[in-house]
Amino acid sequence: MSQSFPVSWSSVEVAVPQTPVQAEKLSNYDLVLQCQVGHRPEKAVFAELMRRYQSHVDKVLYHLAPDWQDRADLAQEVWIRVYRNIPRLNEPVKFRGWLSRIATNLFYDELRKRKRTASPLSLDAPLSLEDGELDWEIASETPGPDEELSTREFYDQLNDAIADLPEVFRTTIVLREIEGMAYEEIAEITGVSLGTVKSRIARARLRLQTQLQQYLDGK
Amino acid sequence: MSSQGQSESNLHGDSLYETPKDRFELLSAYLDGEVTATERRQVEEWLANDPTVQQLHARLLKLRQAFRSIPAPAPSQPVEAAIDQVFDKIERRPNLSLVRGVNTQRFAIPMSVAAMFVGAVTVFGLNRLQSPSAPQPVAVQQSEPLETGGLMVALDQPVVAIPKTTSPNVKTPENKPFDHKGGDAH
Repeated sequence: MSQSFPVSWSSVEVAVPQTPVQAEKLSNYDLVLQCQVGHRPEKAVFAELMRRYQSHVDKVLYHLAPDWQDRADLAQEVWIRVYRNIPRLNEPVKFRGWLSRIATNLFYDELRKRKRTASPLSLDAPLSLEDGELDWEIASETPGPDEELSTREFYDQLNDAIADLPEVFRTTIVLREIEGMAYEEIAEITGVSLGTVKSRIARARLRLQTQLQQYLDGK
Repeated sequence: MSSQGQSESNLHGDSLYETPKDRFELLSAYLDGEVTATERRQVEEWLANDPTVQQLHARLLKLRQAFRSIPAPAPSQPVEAAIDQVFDKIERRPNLSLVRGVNTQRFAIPMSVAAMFVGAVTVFGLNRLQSPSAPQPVAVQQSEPLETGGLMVALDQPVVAIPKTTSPNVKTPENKPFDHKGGDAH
């Protein structure tokens, strides 16, 4: 037995230079595949995945929950779920959508918890936040003032306008425009009909394009 | 404005979309590709003939473009710190049984001061306290009292005293939150 070891060691040594994975050199797709190797992702590989997609998680959570102060904790929970479940992701090419979905589900779990604990307010809130809140006034055809907003100012205004939308409208338009979900998927996540999704998206857009008309007509 | 579009739409005989609301909603769904073939034809007809719809459509396209190019917000925390904390949590959660073991020993130490035969008692005490973290061994340990039935008489007092002081303290702060969180990774 002892004689067989030197032989196997030499063959291992030949293979070694090829095995170390330099995570930062992998394509996004290969990185996800590498995270699926073994029972749990390797730390270096998973850390690289976090470096590449943390800004996406931040973006999704920022727009879904602009006024929550503990989004960093929520983002960490997203990654813990990713870590535990990524070996079971069937279509690695859809990782980004899957990641968005995990962040969204976590947001809704948390939202439900917070609404339960803040029930005295939320009993009244749905009445005013339901679909009657945003009106359908179509903006004037006349173009806004000539002055153009700088790009940065525009994005600041867009962020503010999204954050100012009533919650159900904000989450619906974010799922559509930031996460790229189809109406059916949004309906499933938010627990409303397709017609309601369609209406909420349209009304959110109407309000945003009215508020940002100055820029949108500017170019 | 909208009345102009409305009269135009009536000219095209689309009485289903009389109000600005209906027209805007359809235009919005068209943008997302969430329309039927008939609805698509309807919107394309408006786009060919109705300046109001043309302008709204142009705005909505720009709005969409803006959404897609919206910069990421300031990071919720530096990514390297997030990586460290995530792995800290990942590595901490599965090792709960070790953490519990340390704490139960801490509870056992004052007891050893209380009585001379506590050494023997803590062996039983630890077995009992550790059982919640590892459900399977419980069945094995339950068979022990049968063999040591005679000893139970001698240990009568300490055995009664231990659960009162230790069990509730050990269970509540640690088992509950971690077990709950660990179970719903989804």
